[in-house]
Order: sequence, then C-alpha cells, then structure tokens
Amino acid sequence: MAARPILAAPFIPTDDNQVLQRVLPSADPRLQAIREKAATLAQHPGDPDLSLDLAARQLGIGVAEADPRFVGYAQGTLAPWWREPEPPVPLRVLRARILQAQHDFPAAKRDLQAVLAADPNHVDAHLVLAGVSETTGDLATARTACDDLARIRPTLAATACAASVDSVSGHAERASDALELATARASARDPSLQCWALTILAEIAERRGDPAADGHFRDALAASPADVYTLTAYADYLLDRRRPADVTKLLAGKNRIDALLLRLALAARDSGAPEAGPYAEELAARYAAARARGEQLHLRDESRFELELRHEPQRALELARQNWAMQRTPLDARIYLEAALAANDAASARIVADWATGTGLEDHTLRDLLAKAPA
Amino acid sequence: MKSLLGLLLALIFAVPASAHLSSDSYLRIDATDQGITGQWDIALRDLDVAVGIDANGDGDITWGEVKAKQREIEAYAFTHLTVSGGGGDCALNPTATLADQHADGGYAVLRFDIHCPAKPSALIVRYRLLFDLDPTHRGLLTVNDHGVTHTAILGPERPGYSVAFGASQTAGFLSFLRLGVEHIVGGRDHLLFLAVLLMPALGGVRRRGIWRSLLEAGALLSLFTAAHAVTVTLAALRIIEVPARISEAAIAFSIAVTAADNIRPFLGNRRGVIAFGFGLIHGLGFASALGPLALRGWPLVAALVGFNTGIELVQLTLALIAFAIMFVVAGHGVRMPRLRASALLPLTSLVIFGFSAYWFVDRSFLLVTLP
Repeated sequence: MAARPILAAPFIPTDDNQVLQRVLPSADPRLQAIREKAATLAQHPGDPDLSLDLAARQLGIGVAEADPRFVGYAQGTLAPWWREPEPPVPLRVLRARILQAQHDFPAAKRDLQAVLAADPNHVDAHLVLAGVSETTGDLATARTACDDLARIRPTLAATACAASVDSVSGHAERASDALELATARASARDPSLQCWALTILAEIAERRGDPAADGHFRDALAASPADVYTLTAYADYLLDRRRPADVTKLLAGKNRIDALLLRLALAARDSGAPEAGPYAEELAARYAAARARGEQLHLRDESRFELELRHEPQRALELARQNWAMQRTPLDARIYLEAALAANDAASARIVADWATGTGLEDHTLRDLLAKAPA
Repeated sequence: MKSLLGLLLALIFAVPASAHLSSDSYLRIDATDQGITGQWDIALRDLDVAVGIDANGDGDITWGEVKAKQREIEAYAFTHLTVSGGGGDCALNPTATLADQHADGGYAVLRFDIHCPAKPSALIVRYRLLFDLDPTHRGLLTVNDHGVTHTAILGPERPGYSVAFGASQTAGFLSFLRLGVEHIVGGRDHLLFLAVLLMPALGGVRRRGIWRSLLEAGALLSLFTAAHAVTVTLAALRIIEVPARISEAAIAFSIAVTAADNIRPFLGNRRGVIAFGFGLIHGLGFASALGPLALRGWPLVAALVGFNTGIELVQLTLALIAFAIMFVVAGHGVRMPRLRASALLPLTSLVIFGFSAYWFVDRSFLLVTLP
C-alpha cells in the first residue's frame, strides 16, 4: 500500500520491552484533567457544561500539539450537538473552533456569524471569526470583527486582531507601530496571547523587510516556546535567510509534527545533511496517508514539498491552486506564485499579482517574485 | 544507496516516530481458493485510548504491554466489525497479533480467519471502530478477491461496503441477486411495509375476486420496486447520499402512515403514489445496506439489476404465498373464533402502527442526539 513504505512488513518483536509507540504519559496534567472530566461526563451523559469543558481541553491539546486525533476526540465529545442546526452559544463557538482546526472554514464562519447575530458582544466569536475570515481572504469581515472586538473589549487581542488585518490590506506601518506599542505595554500575564501578538508583529516586520523580525520571533517563543505556528513561521524566516543550522537547532526533536518535519527536511537539504532523504521519504508517507483518507489539511505544505524537495512544479502548482481555493494569506499567495513561476504558468502568476494589487499587501518577498513574473 | 537509506531510516526510527496524523486503521481482506483471511492494522495510540494499553502509564507502549492486553484488544476490535456473506454473519477468528510501523507510529496487526456460513458470493463489511470516540476516524479497506482489488474509505457516514466475488458478470448478477434476497428476508422494516401496503388488496380477495386483487397488489409491488430501483441506483452511483439515520427514520414513518391508512383510510386511491414515494425512501435503506459499489460499466449494471431483482423475487414470492393463504381462508370460509374477518385488517395494522410509530420517534430522537 502506498501509505506505508516504512518497514512495511508486520513483525513479532523479540523483546517485550521494545517500545512501539510513545503516547502522552498518564501523569501529564492535561491528560489527567481530561480523564477526570471524561469520567464525570460518563456519569452525566449529555451534560452540556461538562461536555463543553472536556471538548475544550481536548481541542486545546489538539491545537497545541498539532494533533488531529485530539481534535477528533473533541468532535466526539460534542457529538450530541455536532449536527444540531442551532446548538447553545458556548457549544456553537467551540464547534466553530473545531471546524476551524479541521480547515472547514465556511462551516466555522456560518456558526460564528449565527452566534454573533444572537450575541453581538461575544468576544471569542469575534476573535475566531476574524482569524477564519483573514485565512480565507475575506478581509472585510475580518476587519469588522476586529473593530467590534475593539469596541467591546479594547485589549491586546483586539489590537493584534486589527494589526494583522491592517498589515495585509495596505497599512503595514500603522499596524506595526500600534502593535509594537501594545505588546510592550501588555503584561506577560497571558503568554499565549503575548506569543500570538508578537508573532503577528514579527510577520509584519518580515514582510516589510525589517530585521527586527528576528527579535520579535524570539520574544514570541520566549513567551510560549512550543507554539507550533510561531515555530513554523520562524523556521521559514530562517530558511529564507539561509540559516539552516538555526532551523535544525530550533526544531530538534519536533519531527512528529508534519509542518515542522518539512522545515527540518528543507534545512537538512540546505546544509547537505544526510537526514534530507529520509525526512523527505517520511513526509511523502505522511502526505500519502492523509490523502488515502481523503484529507486536505496539508495542501500548502505539500505544494512546497513537491516544489522544493521533489522538484515537481506541475504537481506543486496543482496543490497550490487547490489550497488557494480555500485559503488566501500572504503565505498561500507566495507558494502559489512560486509554483506558478516554476511551472511557467503565467495565468496563475497573474491571479496572485491581481490579488496582491487588490489587497494592497506589502510583502517584499512576494514583490521580488512578482518582478520575475512575465507581464 | 538503498541499503544506506535503510540504515538511516532504522536510525531515525529506532525511537518510534509518532507523526500527528488523523486516526486511520488499515483493514485488508484476502479471498483465495484456500479461504478468506483478514489483517487489521490498528494504531496503538487509538487502542490505548479505547482499551488502555500503557499499563504503567509511563508514556511508552511496549510489546509486552500489547501482549498483556491482547484479549481486550481483540474483543474491542472484533465487536466493532461485522463481515457478512454466504447467507449470514461470518465468524472472525483471531490467528495472530503482530506489530508494525506506519507513517504515524506503531500499530497492532491483528490477523484473523473469516468463516462464513457458506461459501460467499459477496461480502458485506460493516465497520464501526472508534467512531464513538473520534468521529474523524476512518477505516481504509482493501478487499483482494483472487487478485482483483477493491478499496474504500469507511467512516461514520459510510460505514458499510459490499463487494461481489467472482469477476464474471453472471457471477456478479447472481451474487447480488442473492444479496438482494438476503437483505429483504432479513429486513423487518421492508417486509412490514409491504404487509401493510398489500393488506387491503389481500383482504378484498373474496369481495372483488382474485384477479382484480392480484392485479392491484401486482401494480403496487411494481411501483414500489421501480421506485427503490431508482434510489438504489442513484445511491450506488453516489449521485445522492442520504445518511442512514435519516432514511431509517423515514422508513419507520412510511410504515406508520400506511398502517394508519389501513385503520382509517385517508389516502383514498392514492396508494399507488404511496407505494412509489415510499419505495424511493426504502431504496435508500437498501442502498445503505449495499454500500458504495466498487464496480463500473456492465458489472455495475449486472450488480444493480441483480440486487433489485433479488428484492423483487422475494416480494413476489411472499405476496403469492399470502394470496394463497387468503384465498384458502376466504374461499373455504374458515371461521376465526370470536373475531370477525373484517376486524383483522384494522387490528393488525394497529399493532404494526404502534411498532412503527415507536421506531419513528426512537429514530428521530437519535437524529437529534447522535452525530
């Protein structure tokens, strides 16, 4: 089977102590809490508050560890409400966050907009709606959600929300200044929020070609060292600046997460390390396993894999095009454009160029790439 | 070069990599002249959640821990899989447990023999592993029938899969004919619906004569068959997809409505419409039993015609038997003690109405409470 090229023959281990699989140790406090909540829920099946609490914890591990299984468990916990047209508000917001984690952005958006129609002051719903809308390139909806958020609760989250949208719609400098001020002022009480805001700041700086990006990334990781999104973004930043050794160091031991394994593979290739081949094989196996079940969580990364590690520009372009149909951030634009240039597809390059002009995005990497595109 | 790569792989995976992928199991069924065997690779992560394998809780699942839980693993797995064929459910007998590494980590490999009541002409796989814990779990099924391979992705919305054994179209036709026969014989819902649908025609045999009654019943049956043939075909081609939960509830509803009409007629002479309309719904039920078909072209036509013909044959046979009984009863004036024959129709319909109304409420409730 294509999905299992690694040690493909079943075997009977000769040593009873041979470790076949690592799981979270049962002493992990997050897991302990989940076990306790699940036991309580088993005694009160269908209890909305207990279900909400348990599912939120499961989703928390799923997002923090980039582990779709825990996202699946969260969906399982919300099973009584999963197909309800109008579940209670807190359950519906959580359902939207699960859908977001599963990249079902349209369904997540429907839930959030319905929640906000009923409760226009729901802080989390505004925040998640802004994130989902920005990912799908619906900047107007994202902007409105951030403005509403600022009106209801003008905190760092609202500033970061607005700055993130501003920076990709032609107001990068203003966004950067506002966010820099806000992050400096905010206390370190909520490290994950601090990390998120600093990562946005770093990404804005990176797109503007401001060397301060490096420091912002490192500050973000100081606040929340295991944040998968920030690790991925910083690794990309380092790869762009030909610092593969720093990537290898940054991501050491994190190859179980697909996005990070791709960056490790790219770093290994750039530094001529022998792991490059096996890493690429492993990635191919994972993408194949995901495709065997009809999953499309990896399109952007898979496109980059095909382009940079497999040198298959046509395949990369097809994946990037599929990805572009679902998400439209500067990162999605970049891989689409890179694949289009490699495959000599002027029409696709034009789509990205038009999009960049239409949004007013300031991104020097994209601008340099567009300069190479045929007019 | 290849061996160097192998060495590097071995070094990297000396500590099992556990990629974070969605949960899948790999189920393979091999049919050969020697018999039918299965191999089921289930992720140790998933088994740990379902039955608890990491006994000492240190986060390392060892081969010793897997062996210690072998019975529990087998019990859990094989109560979440049904393989039918040869006229009934097949026994799944574990033969060995092994280990393997897939892209996302360690798996337990369960090997088993599949013993069906008779040599099966088709296999129906019904899969429900882990769906209660993780609705995003999928079973990746491969059926290898004498060198011909079929594959399917099984999930909560699509838990079943059927495959005809034998590549010839005649064999395909016959095996699906048999599948149709098996399905309707075991399908309580469909038989009850036919009973309430045909009862008035059957009951009128003395009043209106056998030929008119036969004609009426025949027309109703034909309309029913034509309708379910349409939906079975559309569903098998995946043009329409209706979750089993919804069609099950609709089928219960169809029985209740028709039974109610027997008790207190309100449909008038629209029973033909009912036979056709509810035939469409029952076709969805048949289709969910059939699962998506891994066939194309003429083999697909043979399978669909065979399946619908099988259903129709059983319906006709049962209707004829019922007619024969009614004819004897009516013709010879057999008297039923303390019960007027005219009360028979409303009374049996009332009982069936009660059952079907309960199913409808029960299944509609499940609609709301189940994923």
